[in-house]
Amino acid sequence: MKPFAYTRAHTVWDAVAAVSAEPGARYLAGGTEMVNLVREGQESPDRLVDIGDLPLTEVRVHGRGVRIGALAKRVHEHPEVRRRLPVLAEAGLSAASPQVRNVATPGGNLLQRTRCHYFRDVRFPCNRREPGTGCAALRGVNRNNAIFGGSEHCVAVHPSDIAVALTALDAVVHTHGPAGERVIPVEELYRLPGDEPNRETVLDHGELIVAIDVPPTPFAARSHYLKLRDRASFAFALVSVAVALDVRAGVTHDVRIALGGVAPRPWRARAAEDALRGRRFDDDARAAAGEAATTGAKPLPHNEFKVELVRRAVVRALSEVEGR
Amino acid sequence: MSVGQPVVRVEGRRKVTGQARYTADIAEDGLVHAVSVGASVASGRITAMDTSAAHDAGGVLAIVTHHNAPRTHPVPGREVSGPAGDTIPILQDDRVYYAEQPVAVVVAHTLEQARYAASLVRVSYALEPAVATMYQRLGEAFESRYARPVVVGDVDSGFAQADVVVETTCHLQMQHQHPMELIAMTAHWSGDELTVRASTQSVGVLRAGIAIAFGLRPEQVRVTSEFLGGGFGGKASLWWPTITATMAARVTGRPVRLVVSRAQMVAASGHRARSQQRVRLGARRDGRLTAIDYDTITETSAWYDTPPPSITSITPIPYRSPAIRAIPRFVKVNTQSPTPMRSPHEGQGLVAIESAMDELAERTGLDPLELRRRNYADREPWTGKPWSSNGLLECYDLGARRFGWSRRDPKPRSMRQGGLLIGWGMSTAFRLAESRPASARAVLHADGTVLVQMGTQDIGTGTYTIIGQVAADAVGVTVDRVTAEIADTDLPPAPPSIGSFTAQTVSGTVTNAGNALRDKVINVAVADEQSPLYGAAPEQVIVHNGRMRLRDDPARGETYAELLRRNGLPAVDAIGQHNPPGIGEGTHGRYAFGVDFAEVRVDPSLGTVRVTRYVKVIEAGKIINPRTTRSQVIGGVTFGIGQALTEVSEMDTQHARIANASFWGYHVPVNADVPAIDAQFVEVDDPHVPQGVKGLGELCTIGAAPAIVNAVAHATGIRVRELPITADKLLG
Amino acid sequence: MRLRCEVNGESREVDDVWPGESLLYVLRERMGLPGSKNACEQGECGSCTVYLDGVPVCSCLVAAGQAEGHEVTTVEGLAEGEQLDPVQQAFVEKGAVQCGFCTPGLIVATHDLLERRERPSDPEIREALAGNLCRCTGYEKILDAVRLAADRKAVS
Repeated sequence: MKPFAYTRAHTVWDAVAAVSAEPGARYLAGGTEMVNLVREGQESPDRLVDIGDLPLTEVRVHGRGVRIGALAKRVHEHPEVRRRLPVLAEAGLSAASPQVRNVATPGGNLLQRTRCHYFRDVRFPCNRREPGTGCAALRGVNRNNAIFGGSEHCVAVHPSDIAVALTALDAVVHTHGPAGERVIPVEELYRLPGDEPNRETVLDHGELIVAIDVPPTPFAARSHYLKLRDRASFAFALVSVAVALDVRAGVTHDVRIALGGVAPRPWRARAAEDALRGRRFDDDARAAAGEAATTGAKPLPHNEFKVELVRRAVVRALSEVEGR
Repeated sequence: MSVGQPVVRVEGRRKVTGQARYTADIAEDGLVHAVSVGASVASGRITAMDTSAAHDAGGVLAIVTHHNAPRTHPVPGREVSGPAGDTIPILQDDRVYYAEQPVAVVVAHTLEQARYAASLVRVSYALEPAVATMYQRLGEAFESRYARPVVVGDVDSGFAQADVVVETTCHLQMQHQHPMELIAMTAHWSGDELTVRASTQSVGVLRAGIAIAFGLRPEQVRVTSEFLGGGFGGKASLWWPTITATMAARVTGRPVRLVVSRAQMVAASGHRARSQQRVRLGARRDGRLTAIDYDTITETSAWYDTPPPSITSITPIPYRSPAIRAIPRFVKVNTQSPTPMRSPHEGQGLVAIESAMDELAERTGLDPLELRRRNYADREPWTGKPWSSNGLLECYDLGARRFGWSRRDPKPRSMRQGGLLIGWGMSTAFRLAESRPASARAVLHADGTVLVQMGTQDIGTGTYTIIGQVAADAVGVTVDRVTAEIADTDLPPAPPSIGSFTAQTVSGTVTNAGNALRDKVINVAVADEQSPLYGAAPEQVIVHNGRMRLRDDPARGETYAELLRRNGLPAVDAIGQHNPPGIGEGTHGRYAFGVDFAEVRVDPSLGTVRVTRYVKVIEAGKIINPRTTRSQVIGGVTFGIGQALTEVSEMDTQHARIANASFWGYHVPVNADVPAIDAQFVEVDDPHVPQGVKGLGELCTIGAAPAIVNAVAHATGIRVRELPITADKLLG
Repeated sequence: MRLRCEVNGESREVDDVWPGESLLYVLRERMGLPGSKNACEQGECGSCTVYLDGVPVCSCLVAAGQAEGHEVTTVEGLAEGEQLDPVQQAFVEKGAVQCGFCTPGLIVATHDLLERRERPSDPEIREALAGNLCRCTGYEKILDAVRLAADRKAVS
């Protein structure tokens, strides 16, 4: 890998200033993603600014919502997260091995890069990595690629599990950047590839996620993350579903559904939610939700199965969460 | 007797404390590091190379390309380089035959410097069309003169007599051994003498290959490999890391270590080739086979005149049939050469054969196990030779009992629990049980300890341990008195650790060496006037716990140590040879047998498959060490679970490059994929193999994938014909 | 740069470390501690597992600078002299070791599990060791070893 400078930041604003000042500077949090990317050449920074010492590690309950520091460790083990936001705890647990979870951070997790084979192997062309080189996945091994939200330039899938849960929970990220502070819904953090797949998020250079806020959603206590993958554990999702459900007297009062493994960003399935809201929560309604969740799917040659899998996974996730 | 006891792995302590030294762990004074630059295209010619930026990067000592590489001689693959191996010249010309073929090797003071500089090497190519998979060229499938068809009887008349005919075609994917240890080589020249530390399953193959390539006498080359972090066939041949590390050391005059990356592992040695396996079975209404017609098309590399010998033989048929026709054919593709992956072909061929047998069972209304019993072959089907021994029927009995097979409802989708479908499947397993010529030296020291020296390898299976056990019995000492030195070409030569050869080879060779040593020392004793055994007939002397004594007069005797000390002998040594019949030769068919029973639970809605129960029974003659062997069998079944359910190297057909060359992209089974596995042994006497030991390294895995395929078919009614069985194939 | 950290109870100081080096690289190539293995360098196999400030991590994913001032324990630091840790002893006895390449990482991960849980259930063991790939043993003997070590630690 290319030689680079390494510095440690001691305050948030020092960190932001250090990265903002240098186009080739990047943040280093847990390192489980950035160290990989730098070693393999998807990232070649001039400087890594280590933010591991910043005081952004707290998980705090306010009102009935939860604020999660961008550098909090093992959030999925936090008792309040497990109690109030099971979907987030389950997503965090399923995200990686214990060794990786022990150092990974929520902020870094949200900003991890796609696991598209063609992005990750620098010998292949990839518009996301090197704009203008083409998308090898379109006609290549695209079994794991997107069925929603892709473009003729990129069909990568966002690999984060917690982003899917947070999208279902209407969570927002708080950022500090060269232009000050702002709040961005997790769902809107990511850009769809369009004709600029290399621009993955709406963040400016130097803009740092400092916290994630999960708003008070009382029925989030009845939520669930279903992750389907090619082996029993420790693999990225083929399809995942985050659901939170509020059923009153047999009728769906409110519901949140988001999908993972299917799009360049966590994919909120609003049509599926609409298919449930105000209706009896029964097999027919769940089937209708599964069907609605596939609205707009544009599968690739190798991933047509994902459409059917989404339909069934939504039904399954709804059935499983009902029992909780 | 030590053989047969569950002796604890002798090097276990070093492995659990991090003290066992693998190739890449060993530091040397002046050691520098090499990194290979692989071709970014799969077929073509190098038109230009720019190494200037790489040269200017810090710490770079040399960049070896086809312009400046030491000239090498072609290495004939079939004879020398092992089961397959690189027979194309490495860094000798501008031709590229497969993606990641080395086009340059960068040597620098540190590994990180070498990596960075390697990333700066710029290469231009004139692209030529690449064949990514055999499906692009099926019409060009050819027969190899090295892969003779098997023809017994007349297949056409066999099918004419059949009441039932079934046909199945299975498509098996490219898979990679992916041993945990990355391939590593350290080459060190002293004048014209070369030492290579290697992660290899065969120090002998590497020495022979290096000597030819670099124009050396074999005595000028020493290859060692104290510990190996798994191989599974992928480290058995002369592949390019050995050549490039040796070149880098020659050019720089420094000891050079080269460790390939996980991504390069798919090009740094061979793989289990993609194949298409078609089986047609004819049978009477009672299930007895009248004809077996079997043909395969297997990928081989683009530059071989003939496919590597290891994959050209065809899977023998484990059943009796008056007519058998088996024809292997090949298609050349732009990949690294294929090589065995825990069995050359049985592991693949049985997927199709055993799938067809289950389809035949359905058609004839017979229980799958009963069908196999009815077609039990009491002789080697393709030669008519008697078996050296065959415990297959006992394996069937024991396995069926332990699994509870009789409770199986034959109807697909009939067994359920909750929302899950339960399926039970089985497969016959069998594998050649032979050995290769070898020799060993046994040394008795004056303190009564025994050293065995043999140029075999321990690829993780426990060779150090079983050498101790076999030697202990042969010399007449306890196992704790024996140590083994192996994996060094300075030691008496032994074959590669492949083909399930090692246990039998060790048994034959070390027994002969140990017995020769024992006899030699007894002869000293009976000729020594000071010895209580003076004047005794040597054949009347037996040895137990290191003490020689008369068979009929236990009081008359003395220890080895006493004899050696009195005679001022620091050590006595003896050589033992093992000269078995050639592969497939001899008067008997020598095979090991087994049976696999698998239970799967399938979520029919989501397509997920879990193996939930497993019984494997193996008949491999005498089991030297049930502790290490049971662990090996469980691991072998796990390897088969990967073959059936999770593992595939995905070829990008546009670039003829493997897309998922990583441990996150290539799914080997994890802890949660594997159930408790009941591994059992049936021991039968076999007078035709050394010490009755057959060997089972590959048999552990053979049978697992077909049993799982059959279990999934039973659970779901869907017979998947393309492995691995991932969720998408069961959504229906 | 200069890297200072405590490794297996000793203060270590290494000069001329390049920031791009991983903790694994520093341990293996600069500190003479090759017990931790490199098998994927992607955090996908667990062979390089070490304790960093008391929690198991993939040392291949830790940039050298991140270890500055921190405490590291490797597989070489678990035995007390000649006395094996109960986890190490159990792995040998139960046949949980074959080629041994994944073993150092598994030993550290298991050691951590048994520090946290006296009698882990089988699902807990599988979860705790989910990040440690083994290509030889097939995991069952590893589970046996973990259970045996747990029994012995509970008694002692």
